[in-house]
Amino acid sequence: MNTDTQYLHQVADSDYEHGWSTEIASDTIPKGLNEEVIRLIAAKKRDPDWMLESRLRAFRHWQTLADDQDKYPRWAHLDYPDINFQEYSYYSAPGSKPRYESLDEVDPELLRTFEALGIPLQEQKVLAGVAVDAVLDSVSVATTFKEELSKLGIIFCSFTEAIEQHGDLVRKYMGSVVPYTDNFYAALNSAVFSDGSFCYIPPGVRCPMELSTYFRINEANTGQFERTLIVAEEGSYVSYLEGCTAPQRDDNQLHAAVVEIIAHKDAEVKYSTIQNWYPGDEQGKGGIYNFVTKRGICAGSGSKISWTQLETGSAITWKYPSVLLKGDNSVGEFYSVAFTKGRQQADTGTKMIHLGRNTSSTIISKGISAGESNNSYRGLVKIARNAENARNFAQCDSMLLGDRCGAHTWPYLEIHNPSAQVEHEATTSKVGEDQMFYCQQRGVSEQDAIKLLVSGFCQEILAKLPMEFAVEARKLLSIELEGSVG
Amino acid sequence: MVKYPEERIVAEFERQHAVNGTWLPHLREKALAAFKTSGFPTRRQESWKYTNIAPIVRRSYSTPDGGDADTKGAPDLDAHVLVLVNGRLQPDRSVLHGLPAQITATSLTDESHTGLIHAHLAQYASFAAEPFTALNTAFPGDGALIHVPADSVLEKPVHLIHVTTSNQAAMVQPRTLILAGPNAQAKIVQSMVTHAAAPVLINSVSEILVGANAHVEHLTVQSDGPQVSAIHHTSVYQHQSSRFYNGCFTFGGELTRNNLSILPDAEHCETLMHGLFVARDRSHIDNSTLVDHAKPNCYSSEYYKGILDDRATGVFNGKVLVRQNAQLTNAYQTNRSIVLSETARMFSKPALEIYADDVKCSHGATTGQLDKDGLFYLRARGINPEDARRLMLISFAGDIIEQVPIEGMREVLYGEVERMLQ
Repeated sequence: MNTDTQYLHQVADSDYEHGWSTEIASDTIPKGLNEEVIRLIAAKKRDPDWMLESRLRAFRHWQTLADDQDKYPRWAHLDYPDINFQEYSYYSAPGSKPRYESLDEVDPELLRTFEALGIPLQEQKVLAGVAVDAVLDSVSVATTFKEELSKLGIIFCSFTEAIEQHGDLVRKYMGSVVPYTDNFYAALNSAVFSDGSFCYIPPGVRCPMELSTYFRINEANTGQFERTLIVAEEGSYVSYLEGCTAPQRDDNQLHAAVVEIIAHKDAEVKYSTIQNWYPGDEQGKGGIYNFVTKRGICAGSGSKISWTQLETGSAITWKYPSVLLKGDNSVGEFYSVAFTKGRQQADTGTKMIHLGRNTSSTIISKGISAGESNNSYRGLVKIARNAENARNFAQCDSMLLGDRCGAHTWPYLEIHNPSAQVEHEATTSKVGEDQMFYCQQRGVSEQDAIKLLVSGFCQEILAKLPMEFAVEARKLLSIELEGSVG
Repeated sequence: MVKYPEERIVAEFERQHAVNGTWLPHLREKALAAFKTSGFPTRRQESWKYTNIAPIVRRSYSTPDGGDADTKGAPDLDAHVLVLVNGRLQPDRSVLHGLPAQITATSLTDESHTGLIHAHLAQYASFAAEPFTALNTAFPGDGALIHVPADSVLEKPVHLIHVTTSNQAAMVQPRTLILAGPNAQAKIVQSMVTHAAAPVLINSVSEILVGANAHVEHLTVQSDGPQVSAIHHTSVYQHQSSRFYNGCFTFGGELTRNNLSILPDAEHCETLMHGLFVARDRSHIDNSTLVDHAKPNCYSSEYYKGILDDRATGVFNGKVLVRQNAQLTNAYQTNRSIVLSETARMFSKPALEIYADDVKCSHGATTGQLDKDGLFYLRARGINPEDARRLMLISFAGDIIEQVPIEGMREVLYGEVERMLQ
């Protein structure tokens, strides 16, 4: 058993697999954050006046929060020094040319980066039927399949393009689910966001392919502030994928994204994420700070929003994909696997706010901690006074793979209606010795057995991911597990 | 001039307790300083998120000292009885004949036990982070000391009856110190009786030391009208291979907060925490528990149930902490609540904070209404809806009551539940 453990330690010491940076000429503004910077970002993005106004409003609100020591969010179970927001640059665009019309125009260096990550654009176009809006740092450099989608009336484009061409839709929905006053990082994002994705599914349309955006942070010290807005009209369906990897860096990179989903009557939105940003080195140095606000609203009756996530990266993860169940009979789901190792810290979970009648929500969260990491589930289930017959089921399982890591569960259940049925269950344990024994007795090595058992532990969640994502997720989890056991 | 509640309460206690100025002055000074620094907790603090004490502490309270003892309303048990009136021990009303000679049940100001009291008082209930404990420690007045020395067995339970009596708004601060030596066995019941027309605030602190291999069973029962608010704090310290049972029963009251903090600080400890609350009208009942597994090979099991009706609010705030070297810990935590009315609310926050890998910990929380199938079954057998509902609620409470290890208490508790459900 010792030799196995040693082997695992060796692998653990190996560097981050996807850790390198691409050398592309970048258009980056100096560090610091003030009104001038906001105006500069707006000018670079060629924002219309209303957008600039909205940014400034958010920035002024954020400043009141940043100036007050008590308003800085410290409630999560995370240990990191307060962030100096003046130490970051808030805009970076790859290359000097802001727009591309076809893939041929894209910097070949960039294409090679994607290929190295195992997500060749060309191949995906043919094989997977995935339209890819590739976001490298902050400007969209390639949008594919747009024509096919536009035949169905589906709008899938970068946020910048959406502001230009679909300003009315953006104005109507942006900030309607996550207002800039929502929290510290939502305010920051609303002020400085550079780009992101916009997706609009017209009534009755079932999006024929998985929509996908690959994010990749590429500039040292550049906070990436993405904004995603998904609007699903009555009776429509869309499955949206988001996945990310990032190069190895020494300074903590700040990321504060906002994702908003609006599901109208009978619409269904499935949002899947794989997050694999640079987690920092053995000592926890470097690594991404990931503060994300994700929220969807089931606005109409019979609507459904489903969040599935695999979180393996980042030094700090602060993320609570939530659903406001406003429409009657609406459904919210949250499926999550969070894996932490080294000195990673994750505080993640969900909020299910039941407002409408006969609403139901399901939460299944699997946390795996290794090394000296801390992995917390923090979730709120709130049944409002008028939410008759609301139903919630929550299950949070944690697995510990080391004696110096932590696994924590902080559920909040707030019940204001007697007809509610709310159930929460959680367990914490280590990998079962009898299961390990069974595998090893049949000649499966220790590390393979652990991979097998962890994979089984997460199977329920991984099965919820779209197929091509599930394959990548399993691969990623297996790579992550190597060397984190001992 | 308008004063902050903190200042007003401190001034009132200082006026009343000037006589006791010489009693543990150093400790009291430190506690008072801690209280003055922290002030009363607010809802901005995570552990008080769902309980707002502002309306309770904003009132003006007198601090009665002693008074008439009327134990009417307290459970009638076959036990050694200690009566405390407004926090002060009443030796003439207490019934202690038959108490084995080596066992002590006396006042905390008893000079013949000064050494013991000085060695243990305020050692287990830390007041640094608990403003109410700090306030109690600063102005304890009096309280009870129960000492069961090594190898002694207390056959009958000791029944502590805390009587609060006052004609005007009053605040009392009873204090209890229970010490069980190695291999000792003891059963303790603490019940609260209040005779008051005006609002009463009880701020009690109990400290329990469970020696190696000792067995202690501790029960608190509070059954009060809407004029009574209470903050009960119980801190327990367990030695090697000890076993501790805590039963916490709350029926009614205006606002009740039961803090239970247990530290099994040696291997092979067993800890059981059971609780039941029934709240109706505008009652607010908050149970906050912490079991801090600091050492390996311990077992803890927590089971709290609540029934909420009318405009009542229930809070369960349970935390299991497993420290890094507390391997092979088994910890279970369950909270089940039934909400009977549109306007009652339940907040449940069962938390696990785990830093050791070889553990088995789980928690579960459910909130809902009475099982429709069960009601149907009973109605199909000709039982009318009210009776069916009552039967099901009593059996729901029975899960907790049946586990009570003290003779005579189960009947008393069933009676209380029946009374609350009428």
